[in-house]
Amino acid sequence: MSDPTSTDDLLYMGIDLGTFRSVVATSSGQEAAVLSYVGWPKDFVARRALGKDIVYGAEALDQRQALNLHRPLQGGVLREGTALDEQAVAALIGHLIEVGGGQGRRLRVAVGVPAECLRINKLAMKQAVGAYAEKMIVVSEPFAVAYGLGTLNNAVIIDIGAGTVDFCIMHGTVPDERDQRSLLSAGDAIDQQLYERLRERIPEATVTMNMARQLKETYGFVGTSEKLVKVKLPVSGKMVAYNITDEISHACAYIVPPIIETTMRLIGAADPEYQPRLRNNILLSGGCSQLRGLADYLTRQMEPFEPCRFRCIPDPLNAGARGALALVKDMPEEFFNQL
Amino acid sequence: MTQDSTLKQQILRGVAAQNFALERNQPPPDPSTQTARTRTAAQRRAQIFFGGVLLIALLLSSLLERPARNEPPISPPVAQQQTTTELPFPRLTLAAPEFAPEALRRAVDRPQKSTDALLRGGDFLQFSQFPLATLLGLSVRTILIDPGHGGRDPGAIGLNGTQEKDLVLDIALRLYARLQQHPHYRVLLTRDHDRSLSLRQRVEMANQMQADLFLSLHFNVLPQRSINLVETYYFGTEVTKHTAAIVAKENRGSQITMNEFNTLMAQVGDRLKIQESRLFATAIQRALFAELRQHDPHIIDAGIKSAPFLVLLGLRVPGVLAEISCLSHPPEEERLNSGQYRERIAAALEQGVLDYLDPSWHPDPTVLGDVLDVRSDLN
Repeated sequence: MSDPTSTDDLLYMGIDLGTFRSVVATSSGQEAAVLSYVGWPKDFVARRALGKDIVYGAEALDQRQALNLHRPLQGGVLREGTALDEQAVAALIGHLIEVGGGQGRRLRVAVGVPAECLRINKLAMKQAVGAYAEKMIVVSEPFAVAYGLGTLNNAVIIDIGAGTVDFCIMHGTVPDERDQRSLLSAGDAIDQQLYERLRERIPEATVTMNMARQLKETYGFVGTSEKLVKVKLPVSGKMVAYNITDEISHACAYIVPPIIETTMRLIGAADPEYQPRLRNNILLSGGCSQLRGLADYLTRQMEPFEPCRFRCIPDPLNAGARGALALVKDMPEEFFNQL
Repeated sequence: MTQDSTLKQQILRGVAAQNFALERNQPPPDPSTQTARTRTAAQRRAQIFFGGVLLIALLLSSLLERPARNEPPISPPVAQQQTTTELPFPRLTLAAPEFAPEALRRAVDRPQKSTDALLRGGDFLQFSQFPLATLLGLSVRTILIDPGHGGRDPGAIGLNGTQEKDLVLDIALRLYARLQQHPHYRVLLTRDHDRSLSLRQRVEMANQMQADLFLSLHFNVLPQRSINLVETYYFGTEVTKHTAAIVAKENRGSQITMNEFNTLMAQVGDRLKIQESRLFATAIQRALFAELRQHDPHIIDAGIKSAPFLVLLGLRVPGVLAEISCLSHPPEEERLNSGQYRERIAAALEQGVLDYLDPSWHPDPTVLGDVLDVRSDLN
């Protein structure tokens, strides 16, 4: 195995390319998160005001009015197939490598993609990262999380991101298609639900999708909440207070039934002798696993069927990138040479 | 080495193998860059053989006559055709010498007609109630799979952003891998990555590559999101309200001129192509529906239909266009994002192709197209 020391110009990098947020973790100890937005100035005035030809992440989102804004990783994969979106993905990956300190280094990269990412998208991702990295591998996001946690056997990983909810059963081997599922109703679907519910109940208030996402991140919960969610929303230029507890509750609960159904199906398809162990080791990762009360709510919801134990993993936002990093660091050079 | 590290090694080996397979398990080189010289000597011999058989059959046909009034029209209702299409001979095998005498026997006592007259009147094409490929012992060697759309043309897009071009390519690659297991067939793809291809290029590719069978893969999009259906098309000139919308969608960007269209239309009399395409469509439809209804009990079997798809019109060989299911139906879109489900679809398509190529297979006379009232439930 090669020695990934900092004196070597070889750098190992784990990347979790997310719909909303992408994270990079490197063998030199750097970790960085970038919102998965890329923007180009709309015109020369915008370019002059921004002083840049391309803007990334939170800055791009903040300056969106002056930019042609792209969020190219819908569902965690290249979506549109247009030259501009491919350009946006390539630029985003280049930016992630730059913030991870990988510029000019020999790179070994592992990229996490949704569990059931289409083969064509995996190849597209390989192509995009291949422009920067000497060697790279593509792994499913929940598998990367499991590897990083060292949970290689008898566990179910559910990675709840913005674009997809990815499921993976670990049974001591690399999961194949039978062990994995992806659902398309995830964090973005909650934002959409919340946005629509707020627009319907409070038509006089000005609400954007970005505001809905921020409200979810700040107040999101599943089940019951002891505190009411009261927020101020702009109405004709004035800030007016509203109780949006029900809207938050219903929007966040939107993704729960498919998660329960898919969990039951996946576990039900596993070897019956191992099913009790799987039911007692269901780990939640990803940004939306941070919705308050989610693990308890899922555990309660499963009680009528078969008791299960859901738990949230620590630092769920970075677990994918860290797992991918652990994997690429452990990968023997002889295996890399085959690629 | 501890048990844990052994397990890790196994897993890492598995990850490397998966990535290796992803890179190396490529479909064959782009067919558009290949030319007729890639055909094998065996294929050339087969062509000469078929030519000879065709000539003999033409001469034999001068002894035969079949009253034109008994002929079904080229595109009658499907059930009508299918109920009359019983195959006493092995279909699509190299068994012509065995059944040619049988065809001759059936012709006894029929009034004679000259070969010239037969050819002039196109009677040869009306020669039999049996598929001509059967009578002439034509064989399928090259199967061309055509994943629809691609590149700048995403095709249909589901509510959650799933694109038709990605799905059909993924399924086509799976089907390709499956059919590769059958050594008798040469399997090709019109595209093996995300790239734009006009309908003209697809047709040219099929003709250049001397494809014997053409299968174009698509997904439907309906204004009624609540509906999921499976339907398979072969070339024909009838257009219903429902098919008109689909034809317009799939023919978009064909780069085929009106003059060329008219020339191509003149080829519609190619009975062999239509007969076989109809049977092929039946096999695909039956296999697809049998699989998909296991996942969606409410899926509609819209049957086989004929419609003037340009991608089918320009072909010289049997070809069908499968509208696998509806990407506009949200639960179906969800299912289509499962690799296992796509693998099942590929397996069903493989079954359909193999059924069609199986001499003992008989079409199901119940495969009929339902008439749909296309109204929107978007609002």
